[in-house]
Amino acid sequence: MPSLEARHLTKQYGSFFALNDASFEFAGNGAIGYLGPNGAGKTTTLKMMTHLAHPTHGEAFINGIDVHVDPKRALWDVGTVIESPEPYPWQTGTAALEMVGDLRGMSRADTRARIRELTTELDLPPMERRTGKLSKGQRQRVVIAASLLSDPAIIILDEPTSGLDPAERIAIRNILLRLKKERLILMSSHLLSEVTEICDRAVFINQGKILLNDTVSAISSMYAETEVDVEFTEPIPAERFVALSGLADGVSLVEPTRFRITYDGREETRVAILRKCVDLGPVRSFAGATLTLEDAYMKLIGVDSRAGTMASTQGRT
Amino acid sequence: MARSIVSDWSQFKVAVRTQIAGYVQTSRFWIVFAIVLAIGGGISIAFMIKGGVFVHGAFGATATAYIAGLLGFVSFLSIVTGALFGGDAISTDFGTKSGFFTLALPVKRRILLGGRFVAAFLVSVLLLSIFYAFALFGGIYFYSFGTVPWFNLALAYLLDMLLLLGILAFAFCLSSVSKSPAIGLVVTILVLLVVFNIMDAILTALVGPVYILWSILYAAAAIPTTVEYGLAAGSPALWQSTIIMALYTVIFLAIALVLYDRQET
Repeated sequence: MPSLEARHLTKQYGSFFALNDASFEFAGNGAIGYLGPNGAGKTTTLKMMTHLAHPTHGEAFINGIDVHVDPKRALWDVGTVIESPEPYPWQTGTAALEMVGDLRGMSRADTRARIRELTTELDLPPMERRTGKLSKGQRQRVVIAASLLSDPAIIILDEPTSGLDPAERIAIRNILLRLKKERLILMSSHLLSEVTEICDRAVFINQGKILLNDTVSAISSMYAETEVDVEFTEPIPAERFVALSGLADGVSLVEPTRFRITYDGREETRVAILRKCVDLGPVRSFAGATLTLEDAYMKLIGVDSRAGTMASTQGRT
Repeated sequence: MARSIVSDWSQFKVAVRTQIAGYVQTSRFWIVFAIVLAIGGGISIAFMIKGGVFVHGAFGATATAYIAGLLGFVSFLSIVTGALFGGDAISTDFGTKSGFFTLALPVKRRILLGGRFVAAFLVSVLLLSIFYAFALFGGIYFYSFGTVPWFNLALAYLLDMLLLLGILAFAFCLSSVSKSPAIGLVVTILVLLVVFNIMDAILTALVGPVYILWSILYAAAAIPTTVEYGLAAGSPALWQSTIIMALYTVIFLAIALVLYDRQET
């Protein structure tokens, strides 16, 4: 049985689809990155998975329990951080976490012991201070502590490191890396480097549609198989790459001595390109391009950096 | 950390406790407390200074008149109390980011709202009981134990509790309309103190007394203490007041629960 499952989740406002027929299922341990530009439908999905918003169509299940039929049981073993939540501002950090512990059925002794653990782990701010008086980053750490308080088996995080400084981000990243060994984490993030470091799987979403759902390594190789990086010991004038015409679909300069060559992916073409490159100059290395998640993201979703807008391109599901 | 799912009742108690802590730790509790002390204490001190003879009219002629005079403020106090403790009951989750913190927890929303309602009621009862204590002890101190209209006072107290329930249910319901907690509080007070009175005046002029309107509802709380002087024209009977207030409570609380359950963050 999948721990997290979305079945044709759809959220419609009039004729606008914030989320359109999204389906996925995840089981076991590990971390899943949920990626997409602003307005893609990431937070809408996570809200519907946590009963903060109701689907127009479709269903969300956690451990086989319909979130919108029995939210209490469905969310019992789930920690969440959705859209920079804030405890009630009049509550102290301790009071906020004790309330969460009480509602989650923890004994006061367990809650206090756990707060002490998390204080060290997350470098929590002075917990006797009202949360309304804390900085955004401090409040975010309290909120993350609340999501981890009961040591849940499933953790759903929406931009968890938003508002945190680099040191705090590293701390959260290390915690998530540790937790994913025994927990299932679904997290949205704009920080692709963060997702690459933490996540084993990635889901790309844009304009309410899931475009791709695969392991990070599979996505990298999927987009790397038609590209090869060649590095020379000295700079090569770009015009000399005319020699590759008929073999390469495109050549781009990565560094003064390194070029990325796009081709049809066939082995014989790759061998022919290598021969031509050797003719062009002394080759230091010749290897398949290892694309990062960021490259896959850019290819799949497409970015018009000049206009600052993102547009959808045809993707795979 | 093995945990079994806790009962709704346990979570309800947490909700009540948390909300009461919230009221006490914010200024609103102390604002109402100060108003109660100012009115109850102010009038008592004025009586002490004047030796039990109030300077204006028959306000202090008898223990009943004294108590009735003081309880004349009860409707105002109930509205302020209800608005302050109920006017942001729902908007506090949907108008701020607190909802993202609370509503994703494994707890039924109706349990949370029910807990808030009971907390608001308990805190309101506490504050209004202090005011009633001024009336009671003032009656005993300035007149005599035997002259206090015990039955009327008890009846007024019970009716005021019903009135509080009605006002709180109405305020809870209204708090779902506004996204801003502050606006919710102001709108609730304006509607209860101004809009309903205007509507009541207009409708009364057009079709005569209309018992379903708010002014009738809160006037009802003073009935027991006005027995001595006769009911005001157009006032409902005791049973009618009770039914009206019960209906306000049930209908508006039910609407508030449905809205809270369905609203999205």
